[in-house]
Amino acid sequence: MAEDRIDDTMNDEASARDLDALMNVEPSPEFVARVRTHLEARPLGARVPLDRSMLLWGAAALTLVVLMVWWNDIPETPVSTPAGRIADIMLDRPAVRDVPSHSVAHPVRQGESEVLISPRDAAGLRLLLAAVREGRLDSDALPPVIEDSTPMAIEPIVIEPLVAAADLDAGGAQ
Amino acid sequence: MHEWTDGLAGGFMDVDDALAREFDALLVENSALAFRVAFSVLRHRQDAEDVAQEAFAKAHVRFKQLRDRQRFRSWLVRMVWRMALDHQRSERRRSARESEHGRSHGAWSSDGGVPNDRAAMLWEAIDRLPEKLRQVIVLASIRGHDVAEVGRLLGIPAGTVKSRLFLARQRLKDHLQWLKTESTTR
Repeated sequence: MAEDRIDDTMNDEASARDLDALMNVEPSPEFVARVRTHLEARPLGARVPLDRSMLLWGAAALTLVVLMVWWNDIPETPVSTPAGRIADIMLDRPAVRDVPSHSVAHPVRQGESEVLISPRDAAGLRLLLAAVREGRLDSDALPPVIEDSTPMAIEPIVIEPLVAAADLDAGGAQ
Repeated sequence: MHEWTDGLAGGFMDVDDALAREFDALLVENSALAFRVAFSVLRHRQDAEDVAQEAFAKAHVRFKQLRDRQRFRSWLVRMVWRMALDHQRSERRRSARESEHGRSHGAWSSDGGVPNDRAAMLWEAIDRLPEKLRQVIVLASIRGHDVAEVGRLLGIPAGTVKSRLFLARQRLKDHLQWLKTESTTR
């Protein structure tokens, strides 16, 4: 549009002319050819080569991620197991044994509280109970039990009769 | 199998060729613009060409994201401007060496037939403008640029260009007046 033309809106004609002359300088005729030659060495869209330190950092980060993923694959997380399930584990019921150790989809029986137990602990308990049942348990491998030959003496608890205590209170009041 | 791989390779070659042709067309179309923007900051032909060339090299690397003509132009203008300012700063740091070679800040060639003293005054007045006003007056003074085009290049509305242009011209006029009186009183 004519009113948007910058030349028409300049107040100072001489300044506008001079500015025009100063800004509209042409590059040298070989400029485009020079840029073309400069760019020929680089394939279009080529990325800036990665710095070696960046590669090292990248490799270190990748290793860390792989280690973390591998570590998380070890079933360390405790399994939510109802108390009844622990009893099943202890009794080593065949029906229960087939359930995958990492499964948490055991319905909680009514009135039972949930107990967290890891699959490793469950397996250990199962082994221990099986060994006890079959008499395979090596008692030497167990930690020594502190045995005290003297019988434990429990003193009888003496409870004062309530009547005597009431008399005492009545005497104090007089 | 060979036919398929040959076809695939040919397809990639076609895409690359098309991109190269597109880039070359934009290079031809915008080479003067890039040079002028760099020259308006540096006032030195060779430095301006070097900066413009580097800007084209950067655009070449990122060309897949800059294929749109208008986007390419505005990106190029901003990139050249920034690179020219960086270049100017680094050149100023080496001012001692520049003075040895007679390349001080005002040692530009008197292109366009403007007398040296008049051109020096104009550049000085332009240099005194804040960057936003300077960008607008430089781009508006390049032939073929109207308010709308300057707005597109800088990513600002036409109304903002108009107001900045008005302010820039006022300040330019004041500076020129002041410089004229300064030079006559000396």
